[in-house]
Amino acid sequence: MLENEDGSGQLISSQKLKMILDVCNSKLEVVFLSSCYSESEAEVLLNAGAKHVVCIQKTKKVMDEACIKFSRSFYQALFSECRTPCESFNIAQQTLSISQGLEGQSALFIMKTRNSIKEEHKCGNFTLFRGKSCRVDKYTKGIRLINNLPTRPEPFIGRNNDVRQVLQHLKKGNRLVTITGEPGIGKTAVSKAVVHYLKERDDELVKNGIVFLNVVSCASLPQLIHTFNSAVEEGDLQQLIMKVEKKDTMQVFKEVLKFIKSLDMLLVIDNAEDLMYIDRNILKEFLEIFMHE
Amino acid sequence: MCHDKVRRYKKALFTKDLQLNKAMNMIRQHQLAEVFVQEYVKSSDAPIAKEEIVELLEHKDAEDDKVHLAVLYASPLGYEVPDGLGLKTFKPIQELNFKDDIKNITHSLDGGKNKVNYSIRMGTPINFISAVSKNPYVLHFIGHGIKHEHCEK
Repeated sequence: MLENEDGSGQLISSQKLKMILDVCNSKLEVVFLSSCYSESEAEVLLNAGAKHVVCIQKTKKVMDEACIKFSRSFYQALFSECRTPCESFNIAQQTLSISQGLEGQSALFIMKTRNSIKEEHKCGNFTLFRGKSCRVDKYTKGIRLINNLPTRPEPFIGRNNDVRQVLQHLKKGNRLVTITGEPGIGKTAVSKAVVHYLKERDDELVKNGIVFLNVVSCASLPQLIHTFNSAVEEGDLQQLIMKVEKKDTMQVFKEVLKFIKSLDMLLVIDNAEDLMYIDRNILKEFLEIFMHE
Repeated sequence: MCHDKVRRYKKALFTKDLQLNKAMNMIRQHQLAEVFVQEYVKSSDAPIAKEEIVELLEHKDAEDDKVHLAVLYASPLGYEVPDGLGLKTFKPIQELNFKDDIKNITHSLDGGKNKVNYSIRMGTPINFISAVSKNPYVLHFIGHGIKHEHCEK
């Protein structure tokens, strides 16, 4: 099962998988399917040209810990020790069979090769050069987190669809997504789950960072400015506030909002309705500044 | 280095980035080959042509760009299933611990002496196709498996 950008699963049939592999004309040496019941998909991959497929027995589930342990020793043998895929598989299986609590899991892993007869199967090691391994795809080296991202809501049960709906709105390019509901229903939990989902996937939406603010304790405009200011903790913002200090507080607030907007981050405001109780103009200014690109 | 080659390199140097890179690689390969041949001839009687070294270096450069390991992870929040009334219901799925899995894989690669180029991407359909088309040695997929009959539906 693949994953769409809005967090929903995308089932992929064996026929489609084969079609993709045929079109791409792939010549995969090894495919490692770290997922339950993956033997059927392994057959498709073999038919489409993969030489080796590591998978889980057709009717069996596998523990996350077992997959983690198995893959680590498999890749260590394959890349660091330059062993053949078949040797690496045997080493990983042996390692798992002597791991406490995971002994029974080792038999769930199977290696399927294109030639089912062992004598016919030829297995070589990869051509690798000495040097430091490196990640080659574009990625964000750790999302910049501002104002200490709140912890993941635990337990988080039965709200996945709400998270998906928020993600769908964000992915459509909506600049403002509002989560409403009765007090205590879990609006904050959903917003935290959304933020954690995006952060874990180094999502493009949060490439410049995340600001998570709770404005519940702000009773006045200066307090609100202080909350925003301490959340962002940017030297530039401090200077900006100093410059406009002599002007009225609303002017300072506007400048702060403009500055936060310029950072191009995902801004999450918890208890946003409280902005209205401080001063109606605050929400007006807020929307005017943030709603326009 | 013959005049023709020099002219070719000079011409290439004035073109765009990609061509510039190629030209630099060609110069580097020829320079390295030159040095290697001189050193090799000094220490060994076995003849070795400069072209052979260039070929080896070209192969190595191609290897440098190759993705050896492509990791795809998919831990969706859930998936839609038909409810039998013509509508679809969203069925939540348990979250996978893909972060730890990836951390362990990269740890085992970083600890080794060999240079492994790897990519880690979310397992979206587009990323899947892109990863497969790059022809990596190894494709590692972390995700949920579904019993076959569900998938065919």
